[in-house]
Amino acid sequence: MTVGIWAVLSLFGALPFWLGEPNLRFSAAYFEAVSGATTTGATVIFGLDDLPAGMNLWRGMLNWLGGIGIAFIAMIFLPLMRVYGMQFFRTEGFDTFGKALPRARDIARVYVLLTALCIYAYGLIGMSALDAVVNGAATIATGGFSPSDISFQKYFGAGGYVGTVFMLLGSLPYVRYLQLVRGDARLLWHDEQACAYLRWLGGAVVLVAVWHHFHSGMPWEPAFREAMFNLTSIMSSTGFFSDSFPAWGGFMLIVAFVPGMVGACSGSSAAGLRVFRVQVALVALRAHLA
Amino acid sequence: MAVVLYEERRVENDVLNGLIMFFSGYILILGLLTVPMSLTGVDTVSALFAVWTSLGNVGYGFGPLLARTGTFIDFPQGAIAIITLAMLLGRLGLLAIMVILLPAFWRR
Repeated sequence: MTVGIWAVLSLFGALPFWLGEPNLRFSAAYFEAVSGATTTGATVIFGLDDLPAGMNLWRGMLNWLGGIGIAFIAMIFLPLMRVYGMQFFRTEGFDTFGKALPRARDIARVYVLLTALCIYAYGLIGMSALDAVVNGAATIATGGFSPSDISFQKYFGAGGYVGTVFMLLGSLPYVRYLQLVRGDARLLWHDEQACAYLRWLGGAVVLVAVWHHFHSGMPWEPAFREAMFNLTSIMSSTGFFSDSFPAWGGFMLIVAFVPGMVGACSGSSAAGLRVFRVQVALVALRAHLA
Repeated sequence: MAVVLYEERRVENDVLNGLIMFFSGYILILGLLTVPMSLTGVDTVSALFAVWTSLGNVGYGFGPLLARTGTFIDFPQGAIAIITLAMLLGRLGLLAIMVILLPAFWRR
């Protein structure tokens, strides 16, 4: 059923791209809409800065709706279905189970609050209103549609740090936020999945930054900022990019491949194999070898 | 059979099975889609990373074809269709779609 919803919604989402300003072919318009609704963030439109504001807003909305849709499905329906090992989450942290509606409302609250915070923060570092709204919606949805061809390059400096923080917030398990609001912060810091996620991501950032520093002589601060922002963008399945990072090549490409496959935490709007699954697989592997 | 623990809880066998299914499905599809991708005339690095980026819903572009604009605008039509499919597969979980493709599903 969910398959049908996404495929049909994307069809509807494609209409503006097909009929409107960018004048895309139908296949390209559908690509853009699927990319938005699945929170991928890959685009076939070049010249984003010259698009009408409404069109960029529509892209941001697709990202945002796709993100909240997948958060609902991941937290409410998937644990019920006996697939992908997601039934593991049926008991843990799901004390209000069976009460799908209040849970959905809680998730929606967290999601809206995070988005508002993100938009506000982007406004503070000097984005225009449109850019802040579209980038903010796309960041929390871990979508990655940006209203500019050069993505985050436009705001580099502070934007790198602020963007990293909010991409991380959008890719941690949302259940923990609900528990945080109820006053149980301990559960977030003791979440094995969230810890491993940050540890692995940190490891990749250090590897790439140190390599690039010695390889190309880029000073430490920008090398770390670039590596941090871009690798977070990859691992959280967001897809913003900045500066020359995609052209670093070589070692970076090989290191980046793995976080992109692993992806972020279960129970967020992010995608990929999920940290939880990789962790369990590693534990299982160790248990069988021992 | 060894006991698998995660966050001090036992991981049951059906959980483990589902997990391994997902893993193998993911990697299999990554490989399987890269083949038609390169047949559309896309170079190897761009093809592999295009499937990687869409299956994982990453949206990040690597490879010679993307270097000019940072977008997928230079990809041929066929490649665009494959990427669209991969994005849907990656987002909605692979099995849900694979189940539909199985003949057994329709016979029931």
